[in-house]
Amino acid sequence: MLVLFLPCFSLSAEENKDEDKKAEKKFFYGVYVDYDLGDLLMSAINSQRFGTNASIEVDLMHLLYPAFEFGYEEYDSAPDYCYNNTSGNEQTQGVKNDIKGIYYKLGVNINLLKKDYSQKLTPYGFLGFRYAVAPHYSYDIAGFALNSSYWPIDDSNGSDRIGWQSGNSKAHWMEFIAGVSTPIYKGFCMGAELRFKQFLSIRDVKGENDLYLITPSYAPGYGDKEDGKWGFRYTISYFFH
Amino acid sequence: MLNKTGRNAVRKGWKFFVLSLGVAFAFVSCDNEHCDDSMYCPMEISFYSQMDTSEKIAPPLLLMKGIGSDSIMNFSGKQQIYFPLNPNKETSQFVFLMEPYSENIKYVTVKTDTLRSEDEILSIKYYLNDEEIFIKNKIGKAYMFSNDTICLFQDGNFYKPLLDTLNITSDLCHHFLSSECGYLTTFSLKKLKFSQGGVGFILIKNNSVTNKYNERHVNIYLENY
Repeated sequence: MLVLFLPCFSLSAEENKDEDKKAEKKFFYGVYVDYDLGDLLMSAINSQRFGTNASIEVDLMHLLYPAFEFGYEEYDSAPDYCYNNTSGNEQTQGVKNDIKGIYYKLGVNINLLKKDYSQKLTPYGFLGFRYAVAPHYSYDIAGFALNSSYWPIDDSNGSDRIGWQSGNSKAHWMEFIAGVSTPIYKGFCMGAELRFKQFLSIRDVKGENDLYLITPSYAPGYGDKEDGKWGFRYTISYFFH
Repeated sequence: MLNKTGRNAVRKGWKFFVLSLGVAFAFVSCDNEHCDDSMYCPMEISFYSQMDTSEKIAPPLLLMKGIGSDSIMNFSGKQQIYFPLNPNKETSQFVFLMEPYSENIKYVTVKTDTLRSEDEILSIKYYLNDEEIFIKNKIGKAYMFSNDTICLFQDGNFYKPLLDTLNITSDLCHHFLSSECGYLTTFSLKKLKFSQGGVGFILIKNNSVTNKYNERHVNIYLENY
């Protein structure tokens, strides 16, 4: 989708072709520091979730943009679902699957638009990738019942509910990005990115005499692996030069 | 700070920004909210005769009921059966009900009192030891009466079935998969034993009971088949 719009930027940049030839290409143009408004917006509309992230990108030759992202996220995904240990469609009380932690992403963007070397700050449209890691995030899981249609659940004293499980896990994943960033006022820019994510690994954690094996399905910075592989960012950034 | 071409790009950028915001929210609303994993970890038993262990056999009558469950499973005529172990307990117990061996048939005197209207049977009353009993359930030739007596019925006679309890002891592992799926319980079989030992002998082929398709776990070599 984003790639379809890249020609809009290309055409306008082409008009500047003559000026490009005259302009001297520099190695270092500046540094973008951005903040993800999309994460903030999602946190505002979803009370079970809080997330915030920012990134630093370095503009080298208006071509390569090495990037470092970092963020924090917490999310309790259990209230999204109705479990069959309740009657009707009411949410099950006392069930939680809470994940909290920080994450880092390292990668590079490649500007696909025509370069205007005479400008320090130019619109840019890019493809890129990130290697991401959530190195030590915590999980708290409680209140889930063991499901069996044959064996009845004795829920009168909660004895068939699994007790509180908590611990830490680690996840790695890759993200492929298509996005744009455009100046809006002085050094401020707005950007939009569409991201395709793929888990590389997520660490299983054994607990309590190997009676429990926890595979967290949610990693901070990635989201729920059951919810699909797409993500987005809407950013506001400032360009330091 | 921006020249004319830069300002044009900004205007186009804003249009793009608003449009892609809509696209992104469309993605957000497409949450996949069902469990995609198989959550069923059945245990498998294959039946063989002690006379000939090369071919599977199918007991003509086999009913199983988990102790603690109200549900009866009818596996009559099956060479291979799959059934759920109890994810809450290390020991799952199942009552086996089978056809008794011909030399061990013990008849039960159940008197009947049939109320007829011309050719129509209006009701049948059953009496065991002069006490009226009611049929709670009937599966094939098996009658479950209100006093918890189970009898088989054939050729006008009630007789006692072969009853035994299979005790299955296993290590459990509760594997948390996701909020959608919750916990999947897998089992590592440790010991299988019939309480009375009259059904046959048991061989564990594979002690790992998981949600993988078509696992084989246990052979039971039946006596007198």
